[in-house]
Amino acid sequence: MIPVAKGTRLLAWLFTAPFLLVVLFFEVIPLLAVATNSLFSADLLSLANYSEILTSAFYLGSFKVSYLISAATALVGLVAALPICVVLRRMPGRIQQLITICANIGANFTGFPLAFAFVILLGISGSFTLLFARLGILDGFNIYGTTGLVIVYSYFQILFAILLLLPGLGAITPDIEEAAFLMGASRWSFWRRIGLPILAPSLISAYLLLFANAMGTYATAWALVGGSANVVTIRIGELTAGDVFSDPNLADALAILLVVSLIVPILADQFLIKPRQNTDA
Amino acid sequence: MRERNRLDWAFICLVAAFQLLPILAVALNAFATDWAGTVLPEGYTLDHVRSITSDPRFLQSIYNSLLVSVGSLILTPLIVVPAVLIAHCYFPILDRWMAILVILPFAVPGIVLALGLLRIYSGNYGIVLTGTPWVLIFGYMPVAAPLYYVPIKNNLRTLRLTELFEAGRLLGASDFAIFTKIVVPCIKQGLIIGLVMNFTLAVSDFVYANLLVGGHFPTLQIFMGVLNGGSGRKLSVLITTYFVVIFASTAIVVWAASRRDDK
Amino acid sequence: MSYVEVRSLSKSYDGTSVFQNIDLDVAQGQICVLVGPSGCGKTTLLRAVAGLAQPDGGTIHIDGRDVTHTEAKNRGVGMVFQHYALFPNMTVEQNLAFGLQQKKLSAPVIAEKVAAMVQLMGLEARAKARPAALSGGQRQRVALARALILEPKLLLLDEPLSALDAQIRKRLREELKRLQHQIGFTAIFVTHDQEEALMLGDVVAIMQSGRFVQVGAPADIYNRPAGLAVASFIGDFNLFEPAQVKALFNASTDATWAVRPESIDISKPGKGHAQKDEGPVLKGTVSSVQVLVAILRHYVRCGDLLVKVDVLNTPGAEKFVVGDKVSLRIPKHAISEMRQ
Repeated sequence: MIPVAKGTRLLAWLFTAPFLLVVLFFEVIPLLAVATNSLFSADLLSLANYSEILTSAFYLGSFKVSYLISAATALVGLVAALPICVVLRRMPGRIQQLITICANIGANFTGFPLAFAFVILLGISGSFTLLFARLGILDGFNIYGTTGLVIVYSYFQILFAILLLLPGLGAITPDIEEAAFLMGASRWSFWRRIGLPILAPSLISAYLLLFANAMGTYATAWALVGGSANVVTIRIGELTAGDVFSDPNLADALAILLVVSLIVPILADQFLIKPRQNTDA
Repeated sequence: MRERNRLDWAFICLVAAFQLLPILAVALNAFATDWAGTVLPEGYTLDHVRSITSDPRFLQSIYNSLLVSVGSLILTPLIVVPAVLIAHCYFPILDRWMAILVILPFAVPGIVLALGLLRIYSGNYGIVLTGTPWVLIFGYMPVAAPLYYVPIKNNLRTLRLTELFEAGRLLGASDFAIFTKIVVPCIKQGLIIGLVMNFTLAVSDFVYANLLVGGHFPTLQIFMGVLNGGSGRKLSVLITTYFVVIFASTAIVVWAASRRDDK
Repeated sequence: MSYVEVRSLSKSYDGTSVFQNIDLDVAQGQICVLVGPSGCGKTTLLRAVAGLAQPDGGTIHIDGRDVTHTEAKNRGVGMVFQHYALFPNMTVEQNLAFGLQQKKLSAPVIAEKVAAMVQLMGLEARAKARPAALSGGQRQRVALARALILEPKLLLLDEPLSALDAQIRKRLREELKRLQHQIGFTAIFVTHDQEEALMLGDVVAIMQSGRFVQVGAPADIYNRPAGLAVASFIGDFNLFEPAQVKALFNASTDATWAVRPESIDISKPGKGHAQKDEGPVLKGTVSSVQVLVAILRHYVRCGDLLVKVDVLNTPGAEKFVVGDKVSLRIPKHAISEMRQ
């Protein structure tokens, strides 16, 4: 921290004020509005929305499907990204930077562009579907369902995982690796005994963020499967914008349940696991 | 060692191919005459490109998307970056709060935030921002903040800021001059990464645009949604355009940044 | 009143006193070196003079002006930091011009002053380079130039050479001394290196746990240490405690004897000592010999004490090897008596 004169201090707060106001008006207040609205049902203060969700097999089912897709694709993302990052660390800085930028574009490659690209490849008459059919594997594959969502989500999850893991891998410096090899460790035992334990905290953080990323995905699910996809975000969108099923307060309750289920593990990780690590070091 | 190196490159190329495959498929489809029942298209044509460029909705959606992106790229760094710098340099308490604020968009899905904006700014409280580009420009801001915060923080950590401030102050500079002439040029790299990611976010968003502006202000992504039901070829051209725009703007920014560094 | 005058200055952090009621005087055109182990308060004192740390009490005058409550940038002091604190985004020239620009000087004047300073420091070849492209020594020269270009009333140097390797440190020391003769600036220089302190200082102030234990000319400090604390910090000493004095020399004293290794005369027994001086003689055995570049250091075992004896490493000098029986004469004038 840099000591600062009184006059400058006031000016400094003034310069941060716009940001704080934006956060207040476009993040905090909207979220509070969702939370408050979720507590109203037919203009009465009640928990009716929550009890409706928690007793409805339909809505609970949407949570279950979302959880399964998210848990699976977060795992796919991590498992695929880890070796990619390990190899990337050995590459020149420019290549790393290039891949980071590309991965960022790719991680934002969601919604219609991504869904449509996969339909071209793996749709009913997609090139890979035809190719696989000719080879006699994967006959009758259908992308317009949960399996399709897992495949398509995996695409941006892997790229997002690269973005999340690459900085953390800096903790495994070449000299740690060399020291281990000089002491006779094999590549495998190095990663099992040293590499992964060092990375474990950032792997946990990354997994949670990947999980949250998949849970919150709306555009891709909407673009690929449409309203028939039983994932939470689609249900929220349908209750908000839909003509037939519109029930804003119920949508808000679903949204709050979604946020709570994501924010609890992420905050626990940020405030319980991360600080402990810092004091240990 | 060389053997290992070659394996590394092969692996990375494989990954790049995996990433490029869907993009390539869309691009091929945009120029294909007929592509059904075969692995590769039967022929190539510019007909789809011509048919979509004559569609006024196409130009309108590109114009709208650029308007939102440019607005976001001007206002977001102007509001976010001073706060990040000041919190880092002067106010550690604020800095700790910022660290929490910037993980919030990860924990709170876009659709929930969009829902909140819809509740507040669709007239229930006397303010109507929905249907205008403003709700997108300001709505993206909390989501874009971490995109600036993380790389800029990484840059700041490599600087000995206390000493730089002391040196600058002893040389007679005001803190404002130290920020504008020393600190900001030193975080240029992080700022550029932030700008690139902010742009990508603004052109790629569908959730906010769909819920908050929809047909009133059709962006590229909204137009993609409109086309989704109809001709796949037109949609392919649109998606390819989207990619060209993102790649070109990213490349230009990165190239410009590295050029100035060489001097 | 002296040029820089610090009177009863006190400073504490979180209730722990760094120094209390400290006084310091620096005459115009002199380099005053504050030397002491890390944590002794020397850097805090320097920062208080610079205006980067606010003292709890006391006054600071520079050139007759009370600057105790003046903002750092208005004190007319220049500072050189241990880690250079060069602005990484600016070239050497831009770094030098920065302070002049803050003074709103005209562009031609700035250009002229920068060019002159670049030449004075021998930085012509690197004028357009950025700090990252410079060696440590070059960086510190730029930092020095950046401070000097504003013609400060007082130059403050906070361990400016300790991040550099030995060779470059030595060269920069000489350069600093030359510049001081050329320009005649007044400076306070903080270091933990006693050799650096003795070489650079017109006045050397030895600081230990927040107070000055000795202030004086370098030669006096070396030859007449004010106490055991100084003696053990500056240079090498053989220390003979009262009991050892009694056992070895059969003399009775309540003081510890401190003797510089180079003032002891070593010779083969029976050959006689060159020096005519009176003084006790010791018998011992050479237990090891080290070559310290220009001197040969002998460790001579006398009873249960290991005595250090230095001899100039010249081709004609008599050589002693391990196991040689030797006789050591300690000249009377070389004995400093120390009392706690």
